[in-house]
Formats: sequence, C-alpha cells, structure tokens
Amino acid sequence: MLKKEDIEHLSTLARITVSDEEKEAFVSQLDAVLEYVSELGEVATKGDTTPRAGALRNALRADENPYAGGEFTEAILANAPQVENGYVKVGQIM
Amino acid sequence: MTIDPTTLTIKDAHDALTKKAYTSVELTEAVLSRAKQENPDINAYAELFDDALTAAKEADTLLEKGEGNELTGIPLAIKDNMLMAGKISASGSKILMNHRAVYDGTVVRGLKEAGAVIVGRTNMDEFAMGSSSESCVYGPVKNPIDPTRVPGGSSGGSAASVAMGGALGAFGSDTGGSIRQPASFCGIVGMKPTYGAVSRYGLMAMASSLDQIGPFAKTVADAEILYSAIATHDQHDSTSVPMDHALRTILPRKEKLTIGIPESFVAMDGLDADVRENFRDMIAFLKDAGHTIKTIELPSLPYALSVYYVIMPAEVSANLSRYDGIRYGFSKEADTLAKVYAESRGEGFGKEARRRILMGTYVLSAGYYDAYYNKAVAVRRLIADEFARAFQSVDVIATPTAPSPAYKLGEKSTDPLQMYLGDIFTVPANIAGIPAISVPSGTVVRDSAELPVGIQFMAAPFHEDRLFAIGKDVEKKKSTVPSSVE
Repeated sequence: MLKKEDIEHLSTLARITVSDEEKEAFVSQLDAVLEYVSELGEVATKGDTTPRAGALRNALRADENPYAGGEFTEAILANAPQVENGYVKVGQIM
Repeated sequence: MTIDPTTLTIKDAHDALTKKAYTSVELTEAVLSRAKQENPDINAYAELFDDALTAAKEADTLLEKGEGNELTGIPLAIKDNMLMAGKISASGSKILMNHRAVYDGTVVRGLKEAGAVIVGRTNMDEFAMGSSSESCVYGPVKNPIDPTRVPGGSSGGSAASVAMGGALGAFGSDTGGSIRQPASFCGIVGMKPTYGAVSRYGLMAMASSLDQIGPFAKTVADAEILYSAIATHDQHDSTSVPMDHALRTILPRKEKLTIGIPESFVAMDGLDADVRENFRDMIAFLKDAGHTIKTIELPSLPYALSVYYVIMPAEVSANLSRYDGIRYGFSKEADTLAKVYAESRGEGFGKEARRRILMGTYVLSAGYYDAYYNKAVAVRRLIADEFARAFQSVDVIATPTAPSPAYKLGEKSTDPLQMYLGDIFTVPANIAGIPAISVPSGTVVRDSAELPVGIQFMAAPFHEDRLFAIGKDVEKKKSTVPSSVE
C-alpha cells in the first residue's frame, strides 16, 4: 500500500512538483496499477533478465569523421530558454 | 473532375497523378479543404502547414517529367511526436509547445525525398501516453465516425485525419497499440512494424524498447505502400536492423496461411460479446477462403499487460528526464536548479505523464527494482519465446484489436486502470517485438450508432508480408475497395 510520503519521495527522485490534492489521487491510482501488475510475482521465471528487443549486435560506429561544428547551433539555441554568448545559460549548480 | 478525399486511396491517387487526371496541387488543395472543413469538429490536426502546396508544386515538377514514385504528390499527415525540421514538434504536451524541431527524423526525411506532401501534424495523447487522444494539450480528438466518441490513442489524430478524409494516409507511433487501436476505432487500417524495421531517429522516445513508427491508411494495399517507403535500416538508430541481418530472412510466399488463435485468451471476460462474435465471423470467413485455423496456447500472454505497465513507465521515466526546462521547452524560473527542474516538469507535464513517470521511478527504485522491473523483463522473455515457438506452427496469430468499439469521450479518463485494460490485445506485439496489423472487420452497434471494430493479426519478426496478405483477404469480406477516380 502506497502512502503519501512514497509519492513525495518519488516526486523528489523524478524532479516533478506534485500538488497536495494530486498526491492523494496519485496514491490510490498508482496503488491500483501496482496491485494489478504485482500478478507478475505468480509467474515462474528462470531469472534470465537478458533484455530482449530486436537484434542484439554491436551498433557502435568507428570514432572517426566527426560532424563539422556549428551546423545546428543556431536552431538548437533558438529553443533554449536562456542563452548567453552561444551557450545555454543555467542557474548556479554548486 | 471532383476529388473525394473521403474515399480516395493512395493507389488510385497515384494512378490519377501519373495519368495526369489531376495534379498534386489540385489533390492537396482538395485534401486541405476537407481537412479545414472537418478539423474544427474533429481536431485531428494541431497544425496544417502553409508550405504543403509548395511541396505539392515540387511533386508536380517530378510527376510532369514522368519521375517520382508511389508517394510522390500524395498528401499525408504526421504525428506530433515525429520531428520535422523547422516545425513545432510538441508531442501533444505543454512542455514542448514552443519547441521547434532542429532536424527531420529519418522517416520524415524519407517521405520528403519521395516527394510526399506533408500537410500537417496531428494531435495525440501527451507523449503518446493514452489510448483515447483525450490528453492532448491542443484539446481532445473526436472520432469522425461518431464525434461524441474517442478516436482511440495515442495516435488518434493521425487515425482521424485519414478517417475524415483530411489526408490520404498518415503516420503514427505504436508502443502498446497506439496505431492499431485507433485504426480499429476509426474503421481504417493501422500497422506496427517489427521492432527495428523502421527507424526511430526523430521519433520522440516514449519507451525505447517498444516504440515503432507505422502507417494508417484506408486499405491494406495503401498501408503496404506507406510501410515499404519507410522500412529500411538507419545508421542513426542503433536498434534499427541492417538489411542483411539474419532476422530479415524472407520466407517463401504462401497462398493459404495457418492462422493461430490463442483461444483461452480470446475467451476472456472483458471482451464485449458482439466484438467476440464479429471476430468469430471473420475467422469463419477466412476459413471458408481456404486458410487453416489452429488453436494455440500462449500461457504467459495474459501477463503481457502487466509486463507492459512495468517496463513502459520505467523507460518513460528515463526518456522524459530530458524535459527539464534547460535546453528547450517550458521553463519555470526558480531560485535553485532543482526547483527549475521540478517546477518546469510539474507544470509542463500533464497528469498522465506525471503519473507514468512516478510509476516508472517506483519500479526502478531501490528495493523494488528486482520485484517489478527485473521480474517484468524475465516474463517478457517468456512471452517472446512463446510467440517464437507458436510461429513454428502457425503463420499469423489473430485476436480482436480491442475489447470494445470506441467509447464516449470522458468515459474512461478518470480511471487509469480501466483505460489500460483496453490495451490487452495490442501490447503483446510490442512486448515480443513482432509486427501486427489491425484491419477493419465490420461494425457493432452502441446506442444505435454503428461503430467499427478491427481484427488484429500478428506475425513473426520481419514477416509483415504475411500481415498484408491476410489483411487483403479480410478486405474481400466487405464491399470492394473504394475508388473515386472518374
């Protein structure tokens, strides 16, 4: 059973502000979904957790022929909320 | 020469264009006119593009020279989560309403190179999360068959654009059924390719091991044209499968197929009785047409929905962490960096997006990772293996596409779990990475409205050809393919 504190913990981990009323709603909604999916505990699995989607292969390219710099800079910076001297400007980190 | 976009197929439009019965400009104008007429009610489109006619003129130049291909000059719609350079790409979300795509995704680039005419971007559930297209920042999409009902989701806008005659074909994305289920609800064809068959480069990622781009069209033949145009390897997408990979082996064409039915799964509660009856009727028709019907057992199949609702939110929580108010999108000023993140995301994301991110964060968090995420991955393995075994004895597997026809707007939007249960037949194909198609199968009646239902077929990886073959046989049950070319 989830509690409000769990939602608060999750919202801190996920960096998402959740209002108080929403916390209540999310507790019951997430609980319902978690209860449903916990049926997976009934399934006998061999513990093979190799993820499987598509064809497993080394798709890394050789580290050569880098892109020429500057091709997308203007278009990228046009989307940024704050820009200074060709950099994305952010608040103080440390 | 009147062009009727509500019945015109891509195939017939291509014939008409090559015979010069009309031009791409005339065709695009007819489609845009219809789109503008219907969109205020249906809200399929977030935006219709002013430069569509420019693309149409360029297509006409190619067509005049006798050049071009099946998609040259054909008006198509693109889902709002597929990047188109210079256009707003918002993924139906407030957090990206001001975001302009910096590049064309590979599928979009390919369509442009083929000379297709992209007429607009279509509405969708925010970040492709939803099965009704009600959670779009631009407002809910309505079902053109009955506008008091949902078109399905999350690619409801793309489905509606075709069903309302506002595009001759469309592209959407399918992570748990988001192409097939709206196709079923709107009475058109929708198809999800094999995982890795189509590039995801330029598709805003929802769940990276489940997403695929796929086509909507009025007919199976049209869907095949659209699919063929986009199904190539892409070096920009490392999950895209190379053309010479063993997985892509083509098996010999078969006239008559063996159709597997997971009987115990189809017999479940929660499938509307008349939808089940419609499914049975279609299977009987296919049997009369010479196909073999076989009961198969997929014992872990009932767990696919739970597997999906653990793995998908987990991947979502990772993929949506990039929307943080720093490099693009909605940004809230605050006195600490952590608050910029939390408030930009808290206000920029809608309810369902926040719900799924929190859900994903939970199943990946310390103490729960093993019980939920790892367990889901292990069960996913089982499901994929069971499908692989089944395809050794059957060519395709059939189920209804959805447990019900289109429901009323607002009917399921307050209970997330109720909405999730509607995905029960579609998520297995994403879980197993196999291709699947929904083909219109007739109608059922709700409140004296005749509503479309779809039949779904799944095939082994890279056997989309089998899906198109059986889909064309399904179409023989109805009246002939519509054509409006005079």
